[in-house]
Amino acid sequence: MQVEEFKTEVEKILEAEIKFDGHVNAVVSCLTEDKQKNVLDWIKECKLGIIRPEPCKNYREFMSFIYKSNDNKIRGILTKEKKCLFCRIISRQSQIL
Amino acid sequence: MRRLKYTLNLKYLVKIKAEIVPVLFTEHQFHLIELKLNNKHFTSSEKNEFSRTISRKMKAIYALMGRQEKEVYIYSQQKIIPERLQLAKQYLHDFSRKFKNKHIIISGSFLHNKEFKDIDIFVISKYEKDDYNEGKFHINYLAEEAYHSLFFSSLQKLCISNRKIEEIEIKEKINLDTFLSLYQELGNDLDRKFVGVEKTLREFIMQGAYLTKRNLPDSAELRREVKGILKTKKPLELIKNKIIETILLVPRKEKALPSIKELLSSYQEIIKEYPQHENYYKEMMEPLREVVALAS
Repeated sequence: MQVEEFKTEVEKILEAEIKFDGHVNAVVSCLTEDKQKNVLDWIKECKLGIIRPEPCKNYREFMSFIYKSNDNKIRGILTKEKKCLFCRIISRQSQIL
Repeated sequence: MRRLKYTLNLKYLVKIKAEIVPVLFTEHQFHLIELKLNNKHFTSSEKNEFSRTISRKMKAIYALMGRQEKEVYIYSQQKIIPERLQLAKQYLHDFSRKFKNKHIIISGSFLHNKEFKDIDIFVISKYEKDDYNEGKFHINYLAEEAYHSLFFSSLQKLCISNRKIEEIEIKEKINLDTFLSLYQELGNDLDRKFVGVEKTLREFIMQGAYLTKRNLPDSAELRREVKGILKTKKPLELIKNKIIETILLVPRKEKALPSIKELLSSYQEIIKEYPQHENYYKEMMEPLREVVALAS
């Protein structure tokens, strides 16, 4: 899936306009189709309330859903305003052991 | 020329300047070495002089000392299994040849534990690269900034290295905020039985030690503590105790209390929106409430 296609899919799932931040383009373009699907499935679970959000310490009006790939190399944070819409995705590829 | 940059320490060199100038190098040559170690640009005549005289002299000094590519620095030798140390020295030599002029470190369970998954080889490189496995070896690239991380401070306590590791100043940002974020991450990892939970727990333990100004654990101590906590029936209970202990022992903890109170109210609000996860949130809030009660 191309990056733009992926982003459209995310917005479709979350039914909101999402701001894609950080390294989303670079990270998504490196993911295999399977891994992209894992991320999309995770986003669906966030939307359904299966995945649990965490409060953001310094931004009280927001909460965040944290994604970590099984190999711990890909991380994503989906933020949502409390009682409001999903709004932003931050992503990064980690080299840390 | 590159070898010189990697093997000399400018601070030390300046300290011993009186002993080496003019016996080994002229004042001008010493100046060129300083330029080199400070990454300053050479003019073409300086470049010539450097390679014609300084590099040659250095090469001769190394040859005289028999140190070329054979330097081994061992940290916490008493904790290293003797047979493994012999093997590790050989591997260090091999990898120093493979990654020429690079700082190579061997660390991890291979050195101190009977059982080990792979042999961790760390290569300090200018840029981060993907790690990879090569047979029984796990090659990890660390960018030079990693020297100033908590991870490296712990790593260098029990390792063998082809360069002397100087005392390191930790520049990584670590405070109660990062510690509380790790607590949240850890709670999540444990709850969903995430495979990478050990890594999160390692970071959590290291940050806790750093914040309370205790000695950072080396890789053997860290491994023992992580395995110990994860083996218990309720690891989160131990982690909750650690959170309380750490926050209460952090200097100027009073400053953190308002943000902990904020976090607690934030949890309350989330419970209203996600009542299905109420039990989890309440469990995570428990030690934070205790901290507020004990510290207020």
